[in-house]
Amino acid sequence: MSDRTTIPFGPQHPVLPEPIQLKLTLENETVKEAVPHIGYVHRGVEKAGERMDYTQNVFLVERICGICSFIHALCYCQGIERLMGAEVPPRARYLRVIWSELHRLQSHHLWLGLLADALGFESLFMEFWRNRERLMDIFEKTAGSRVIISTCTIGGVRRDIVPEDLEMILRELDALEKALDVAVNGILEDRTVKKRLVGKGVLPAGQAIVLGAVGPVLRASGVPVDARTDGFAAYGELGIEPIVETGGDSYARTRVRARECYQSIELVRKAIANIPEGDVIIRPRGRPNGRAFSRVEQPRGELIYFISADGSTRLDRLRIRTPTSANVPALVAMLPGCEMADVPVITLSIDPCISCTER
Amino acid sequence: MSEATAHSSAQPPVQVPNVEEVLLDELLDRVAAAMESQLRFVTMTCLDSGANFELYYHFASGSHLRHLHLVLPKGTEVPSISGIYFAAFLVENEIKELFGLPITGIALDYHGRLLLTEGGPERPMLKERPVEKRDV
Repeated sequence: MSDRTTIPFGPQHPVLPEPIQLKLTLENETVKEAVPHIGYVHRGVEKAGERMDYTQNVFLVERICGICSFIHALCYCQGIERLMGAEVPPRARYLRVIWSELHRLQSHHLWLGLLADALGFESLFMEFWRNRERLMDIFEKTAGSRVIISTCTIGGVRRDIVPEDLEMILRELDALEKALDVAVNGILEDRTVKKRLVGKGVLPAGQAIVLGAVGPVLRASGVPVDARTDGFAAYGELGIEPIVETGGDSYARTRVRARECYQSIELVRKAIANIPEGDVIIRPRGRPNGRAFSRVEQPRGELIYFISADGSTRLDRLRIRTPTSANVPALVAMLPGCEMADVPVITLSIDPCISCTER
Repeated sequence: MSEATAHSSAQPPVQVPNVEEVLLDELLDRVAAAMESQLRFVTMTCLDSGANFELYYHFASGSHLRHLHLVLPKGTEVPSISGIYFAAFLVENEIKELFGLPITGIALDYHGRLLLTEGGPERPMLKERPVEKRDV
């Protein structure tokens, strides 16, 4: 008789309130195999994208995910703009960077809080989420809503940010940075936290590349790939160096996200210091025609939109590859050999977003 | 707001750069060569082009992107590349389910139950019921 036991981890689990299941095969307490199961909440967004007008799709794609809605819209709009030969005004490109980086900041705060919660560090969880409220308030003040801000559109952005609000963002970021120093120190230097993260879920660089890992998961394995270095929006003018760690474990992934918070703060400051005056939107003429491959960097990694259009008002094909779906094979490779007790934290370490995956 | 001079639908369609055409019998060799060159597997895209399926295999080296493009008549079997790039198993299952494209030898085959459930629509991404095109 085999000593192996199969345990279904999810789709409901206290540490991961998202509908994904990992079917774990264990030998005593050691994981031998993990098989992922998704599809619990698949929404058919790609098909819906063929049925709606290409301008309506902006509203559709920004509802794929509540955490990075602006960046979904950005990726889609950049693809459509390429197909229409539209050049976005410089001020709009800077505003796109500002809202994108604020999204990354709030997403990383959300994740750092969830990690602290998963480790039983509730006061630190509340600290990160309290700090995150500053960012949500910035969204409300500059866009009128806290979650799906709906400011990105084809040809630019729907709203400008007035100088007083740019000043307000800088003041809030100063306060956030100070609070971040305390909270990040709490998670990166705590002995107990380190014991739960260091050496857990190791992904060597070669394996990370072959398994198609993206974002902080890939960069924590020492691979300096960040789609922002392509220079889309205003990233080319602002300059960016990928944040890289070499440990390849859950701790390295945490360090990458913590350091990226500071990087995002600096990018917003730089964007505000250099933002040009002028229009924030153009009205592109004609209709999208051809095929485009659009790529941006979400908080969780590389986001891909492949768009095929035939010159009509509806798209021939809208293909969306989200970062979590790219990181699932890497997760499957990280788990064998680990203890059952470490599965929740290792799973959390890829920052899974099933809302994106089940587009 | 200003108006931009942009492409009209009468202008030639925009194309994706760095696309290499590939034949079915050389697919696995080309993918194996990509693996040897340490290219990162990005994803695959399937398009329903009427009598044919079009498959794009997207790879990246750093920030440089490369795409293999395969056109094949509907009903033709395609070998899975998941024996070379394990990461392809999810998207291959997805294409098999949503388009009905017969992909053989997937490393982890969900047999049509990755995204779709019993009693759900079959091959929903096919254009058998074409979307009405509006001319606005």
